[in-house]
Amino acid sequence: MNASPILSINKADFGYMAGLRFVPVISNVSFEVPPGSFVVLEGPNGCGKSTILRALLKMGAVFQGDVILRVPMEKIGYIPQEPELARNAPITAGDIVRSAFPFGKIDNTSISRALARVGLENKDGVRYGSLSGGQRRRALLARALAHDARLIILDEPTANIDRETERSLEFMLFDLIANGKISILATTHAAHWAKSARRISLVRREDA
Amino acid sequence: MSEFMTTFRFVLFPFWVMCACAAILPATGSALYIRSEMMLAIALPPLSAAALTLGVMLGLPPENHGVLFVFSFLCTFAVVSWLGNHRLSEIKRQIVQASLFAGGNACTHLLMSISPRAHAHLGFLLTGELLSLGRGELYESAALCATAIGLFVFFKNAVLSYCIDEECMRLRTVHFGFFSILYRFMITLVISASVLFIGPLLTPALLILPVVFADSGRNSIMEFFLYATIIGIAGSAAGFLLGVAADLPPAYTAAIGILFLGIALKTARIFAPRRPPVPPIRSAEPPPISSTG
Repeated sequence: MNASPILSINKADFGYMAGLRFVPVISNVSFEVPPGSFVVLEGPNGCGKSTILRALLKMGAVFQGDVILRVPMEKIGYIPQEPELARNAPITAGDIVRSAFPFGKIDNTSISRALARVGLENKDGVRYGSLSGGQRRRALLARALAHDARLIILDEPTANIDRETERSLEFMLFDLIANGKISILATTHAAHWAKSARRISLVRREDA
Repeated sequence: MSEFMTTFRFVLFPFWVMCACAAILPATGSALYIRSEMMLAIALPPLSAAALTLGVMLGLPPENHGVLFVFSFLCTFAVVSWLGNHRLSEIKRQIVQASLFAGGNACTHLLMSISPRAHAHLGFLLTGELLSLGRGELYESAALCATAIGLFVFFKNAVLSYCIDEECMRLRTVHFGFFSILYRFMITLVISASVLFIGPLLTPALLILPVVFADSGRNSIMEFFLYATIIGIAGSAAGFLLGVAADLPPAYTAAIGILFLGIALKTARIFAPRRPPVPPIRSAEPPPISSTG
């Protein structure tokens, strides 16, 4: 049985609006994210990987063309390229997970469980700013798991982390998709990362 | 002592008005700090003061706080909304806010020097005097305080989510647009009203100073909000009373009071006995959780 892809993109252009004019950053993009899959968009810096993600998440960028997203926006977990959220403020890893419930509640046990699932046991009360880059990404991943995200989008998860951390993050992401309920869409320019994921190569526009 | 108590009886209303503002401004400053918008705490009070002065100069009745406040609020809210809706780089945003501070101050002083009416009715705000506040202002400030605290308690999780990660909240809720406007509305409401009550000197002091001293050593966001509020109320109240006792402008002494209390707490932390060391955070990443293979 072939379930419908969570995300289908068919010959779409992604870019930004300059006034009323659409300025494409990357054109003619086609790919699918099936349920329970790990899809990696790879390409050089500036080719439009992040633009695709920001357009899908309606964060400033826009698209033209055929894009079908089969999960509600609130079931998407997003881990940005620079997870520097209020880094100097006294916010704990637990607060980060709690922030996924602006109009609801989550108990402390569920927060601890979500953090433990990504290898951050007993880190509920640890200040977010004192976590390493890899641990900060894990905290955001725990937030996505806590709100039961079905599609997790990671923008350059390997930026500013060492090889060992990259590797453990890769293992963890493959582990998450194993039950088939979560799909992952990530961008990277690191050819060595997540080699066994389904890889989509993007090329920079000639006029970019 | 009895002489002080006699004097204090005459300044009870200003004292409680200032305490009401001190109960909400540090928490407002904390929210701005977490959202990296602290420059708004510097930019908005002078802007609000300039709008008040302009309002009186244009003929709005200075005794009618409601009309004056609405005018000042609308001017400030227009600027806050413009800043919120325009995608500016971090540095560009800071420059715009710094220029609002400089421009607002310049306009306030210029308009007061042009209009003797404005100077007569609002000049006291610039000289640090709070003593003309009466029962009416006390009721208004109490209503503002109760509204702000009530909304914060009701929307506590939403405020924290919005402060921590606006983008996550945008994804997670369909009410994001409404909440974003409500947040800007409340920030403007609190700052504009405070400028009207306690002036453009004490308002930024209450927004900024408690936050500076509350940050260190706090490990929870709610503890941070609470601690900033306590420092704000205690410091400004002590400074106010000192100002009354020494016959000095209480807005100045209240601001200095927060500063001294903050420094005293910081110093006490340095000399306080250390807690047992917390196990260090592992620098290496933990091993991957068990793979399904």
